[in-house]
Amino acid sequence: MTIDLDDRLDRAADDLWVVVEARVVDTGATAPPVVRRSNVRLLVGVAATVTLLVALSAVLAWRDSTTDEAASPPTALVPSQETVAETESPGAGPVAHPGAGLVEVFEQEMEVALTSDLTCDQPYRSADSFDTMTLQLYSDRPGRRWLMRATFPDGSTYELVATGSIIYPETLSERGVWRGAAVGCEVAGGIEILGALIGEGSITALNRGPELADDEVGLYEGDVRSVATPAGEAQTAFGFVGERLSMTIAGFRTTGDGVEQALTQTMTWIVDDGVVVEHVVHDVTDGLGTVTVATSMRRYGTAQIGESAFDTSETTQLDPVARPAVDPFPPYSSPVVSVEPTVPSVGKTELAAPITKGAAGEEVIRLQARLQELGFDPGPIDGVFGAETQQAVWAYKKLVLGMPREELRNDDHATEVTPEMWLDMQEPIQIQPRRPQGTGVTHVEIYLPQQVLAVFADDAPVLVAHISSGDDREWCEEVSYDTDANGRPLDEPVVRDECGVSYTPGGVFTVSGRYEGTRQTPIGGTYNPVFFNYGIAVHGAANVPLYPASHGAIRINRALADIFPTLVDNGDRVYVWGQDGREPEEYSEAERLPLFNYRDPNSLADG
Amino acid sequence: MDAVLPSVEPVRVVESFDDFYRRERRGLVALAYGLTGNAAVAEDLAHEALTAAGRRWEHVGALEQPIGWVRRAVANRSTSFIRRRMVEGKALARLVSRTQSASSPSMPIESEHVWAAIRRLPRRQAQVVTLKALFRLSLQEIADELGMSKETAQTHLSRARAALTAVLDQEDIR
Repeated sequence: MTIDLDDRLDRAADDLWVVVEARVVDTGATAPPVVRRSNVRLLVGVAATVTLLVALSAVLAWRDSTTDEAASPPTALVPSQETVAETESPGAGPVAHPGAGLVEVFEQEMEVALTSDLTCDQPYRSADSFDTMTLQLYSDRPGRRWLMRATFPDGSTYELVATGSIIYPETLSERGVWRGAAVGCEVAGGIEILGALIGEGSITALNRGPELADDEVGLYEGDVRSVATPAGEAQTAFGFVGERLSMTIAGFRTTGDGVEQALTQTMTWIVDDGVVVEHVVHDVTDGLGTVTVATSMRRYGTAQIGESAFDTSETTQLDPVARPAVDPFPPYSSPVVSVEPTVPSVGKTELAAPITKGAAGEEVIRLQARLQELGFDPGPIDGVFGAETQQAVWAYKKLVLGMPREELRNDDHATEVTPEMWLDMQEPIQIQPRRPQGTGVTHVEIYLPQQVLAVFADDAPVLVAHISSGDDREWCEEVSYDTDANGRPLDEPVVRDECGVSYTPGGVFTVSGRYEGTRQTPIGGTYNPVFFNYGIAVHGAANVPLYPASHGAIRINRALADIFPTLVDNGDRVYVWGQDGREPEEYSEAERLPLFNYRDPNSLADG
Repeated sequence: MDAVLPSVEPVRVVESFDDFYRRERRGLVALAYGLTGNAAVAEDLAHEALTAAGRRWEHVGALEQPIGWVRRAVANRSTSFIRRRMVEGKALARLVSRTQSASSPSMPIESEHVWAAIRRLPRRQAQVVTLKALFRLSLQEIADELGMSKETAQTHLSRARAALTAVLDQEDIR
């Protein structure tokens, strides 16, 4: 079959225009422009063991937009009367300003230098020069949140979120590239970042709003001094921790008749573990808006060279005047199951009687198809209610119906699908991630209390499975293994009498590796293991009972173990909700560690 | 005796940047959107290019085709955005998806496919075919905007069309 390319292109172009027209609303007053330029220099020094120097130059300018409404195309071209006046230093004379200013373009450029004399064994410094770490900022329009991505020369990347807003009543566009640097200590397998600063770069923001008086033209000059003590626990030492930061912005504005007014603004704020605990603004300006810079970051782990190991932290927009009583890390809450009011594509069917394992026929086919549609994997849709369909039903009951697994375990009819349940199952159910990641991302969520695992791609469920994890019990037995505690293969298998605790910790992890086939690990035999927390893996097992039975790993059935490794890539995130009901982010680094085995004290064998 | 001629100064007639901005912004966003596939990024890229033009409007505004200058800037920024994204891979893709607001508009999937295929073309081909599809420019106009000869533009266009036909054909079969 041959397509009509011109036709396809035309339609694609038309469709694109529809989107753009819906998005780019022509307000008639979005003219930008540039009249003046100024430099703002900021100096940031972080005392104690880390010293950071920032020089910031900013460009500020705007000009009139005398034409108000209705962007009627100009009927005549007029000679340009305004000239672009640029002053390279603040304090230059007033600039003739032709009229009302509704629109402002703000640009700033920053540079950063960073020095450190850290006391750790292996100090790490991103480099001496400016261009060592590139942070890219994207504004998150509604929340005014900046997402940053840091790239080091070695290819390692970090994602951060910070607020740092030039607050105007309405911001139309904001984007920038900053550079910065970081200091820290090299630790096993990575770098622990103890301080980082966003520095050199540029931001452009197009702002407009009533706060800009008609006759304003301004220049800023400012100093920022910050003193930080990056001491404290390593876990809370990322970013501006315990830092006192103050900023004075001095500037002037020029009225239409050339009169200058001096302006001063001083802000002080203290950041402690990502939370602004004190924030004072002395603002003697009334027309220029408020400049607020605040950073809050939370460290999630040790950065591995070559991969992104920091999660983004959550921040909220800070109120520039009132002392913020906000929690930059609001509690997460999102339902696992949502019921969307969608119209079912086919009419509902009914079951005459309950069906369970061993059943066969049309009804089982419909059940299997529906389970699959919801993201569960009932095995081949063959109309035979076998072990895989049984586990899919278990997972459904635990996750969607919220049946406690203990109850299910003691229920003789645990596998049964009743007519009522079948009707309910045909409702428009949608399984949603608790930690949505957006499109283009695959991630895994493991709910230990429910003993259910879910793989999401683009936040849609691709595999929801019944699992069996560690049961927190101590065990002692003869073990044989051919990988070490990190999942790396040993030269030859080892047999030992060992004890361990079957503990599956919660936390946020990334998939770190995998093997094909069967491996004997310190926590037992595994099939197609996909590791995410040292020796803890998601792996196939012949026995996946309705209770935690593993030595710490996540068991899924063998058929799923053929699929799971194809769904996730190394580096994909794994969120594990703990047995104790805690959120993944609530586990400390120490708590996330698996418990390693120890020699059986009663062993007679040589070790 | 020579007559003293009145001196004639050439008068440059320049459209005001405001008017230019208002009229052209939407088209520039469309261009960047087609080439990047991300509406939020497209707005930023269009804004950046316009800001750059505004800063030197004396110069840009006096060009015969100011819009050509800005479109070229947008096209180049867009394709380098894509290149950067390919290099940076997954991490940036994650970021980009987060920068898109929840209410991101979308277009029919068939058209999404067409644009996705265009974005996978070599950058010059992508630029040529996008300018043609969105603005129905002539080959000469495209060549002028992108700073290439008409023949080169023709070559890029033919190759782009051949590649797109092959790709989209295959998609239809699947």
